[in-house]
Amino acid sequence: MEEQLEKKNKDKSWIEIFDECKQKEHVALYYCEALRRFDKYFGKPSHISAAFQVPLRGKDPIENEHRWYKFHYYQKEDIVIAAMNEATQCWDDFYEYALSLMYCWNNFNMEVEIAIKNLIRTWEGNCPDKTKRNVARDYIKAVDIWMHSTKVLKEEQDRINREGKYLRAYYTAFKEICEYYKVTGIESHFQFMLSAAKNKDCWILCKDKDQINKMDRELQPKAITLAQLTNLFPLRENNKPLIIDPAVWCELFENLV
Amino acid sequence: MKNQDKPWIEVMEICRNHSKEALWAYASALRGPDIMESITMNDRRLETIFTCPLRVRNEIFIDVKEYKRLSLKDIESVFIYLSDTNNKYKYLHYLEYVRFAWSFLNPKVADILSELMGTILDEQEDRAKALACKYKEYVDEWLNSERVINQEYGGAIGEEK
Repeated sequence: MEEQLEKKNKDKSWIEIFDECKQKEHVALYYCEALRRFDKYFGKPSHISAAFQVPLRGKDPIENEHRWYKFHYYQKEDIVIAAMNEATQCWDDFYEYALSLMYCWNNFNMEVEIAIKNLIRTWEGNCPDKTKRNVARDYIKAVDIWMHSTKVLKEEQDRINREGKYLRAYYTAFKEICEYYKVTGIESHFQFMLSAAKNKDCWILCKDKDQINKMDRELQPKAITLAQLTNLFPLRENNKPLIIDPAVWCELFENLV
Repeated sequence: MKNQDKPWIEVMEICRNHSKEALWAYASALRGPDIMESITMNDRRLETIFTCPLRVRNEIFIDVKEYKRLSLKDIESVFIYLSDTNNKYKYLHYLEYVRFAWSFLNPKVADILSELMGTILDEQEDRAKALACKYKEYVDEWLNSERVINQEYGGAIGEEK
């Protein structure tokens, strides 16, 4: 299950991508709108399809890899440039198609949406070849970032990133607290918390049973040792607060390290 | 519940339970054509006639309600417009996606579209009108039916586009 959660977008089939979209109905529909080929160049090998449809089509079930990675990075630059050159032959219709791509990418990865806008502006403005190559590169990079993300929806990916940041911050704080206890050995804060715990519905996580036995009788039913914890579920029960003995913190920290 | 009252995502799930091909056919037919909308009234109506019935109940884009507002004359007008070979060629790719979806939902509609796409109808207004009439009849038949996939194994299973 965890492996499934960690799957990168490039390793997902279009159906798996669609399933993630379903959390937001409008995104699922935008995805369907962007899934198919551009209406022009029917029956011919199309650079537009290779550049814009392929990234959204998911992993190829037969080749068992994403077609986006069939070409080398520099070949893809040429494909995107060729696609935009093709588009100039039916610009208004391509713009309609590009809108459906942009609606979709707006919910997947805004960098890609911006890159498509820039491609359109650059070709509309008939900018120099060097500029065209740069914006094509930006598009490929943005697509690659999404391909290597684990979440289809940008909001989900942002949440994961935020949680990552939060966990890192929490870990740093935790480390500092543990080091503080290690150095000072002061237990006054814990004792203060215990005195307040008498009238509270909470858990007290202690190092071992001896320590529990030393506790005030009223507190003993609330105490739990690390060894008693087969999983963290009991701690979540009714969102009870958890008071942790600094000695346990230190031990936990050692384990974490 | 009649198909026309089902949310599109429910139709999608039923297609999924049927086959990967049906799912792909339905999902990829939910979009309008890549044609700048502002050309003619007939161009603008194409999405309403061909995509809206497939979108059934859909809170995001125009859906079956828009299709239901059209008269048979409106549909005939678009079919006559598509009888012109140049116009037909413009929409051929889009119509192929629509046809493929109907080959699972109601193959009778797919047959009508095959005839529209495959027959030279230049200056055969009556034939175009007859096809429009049949198209409406069979689409309405599906919309009023409770069964999403209209045949056990679906229609022609072609290569994914």
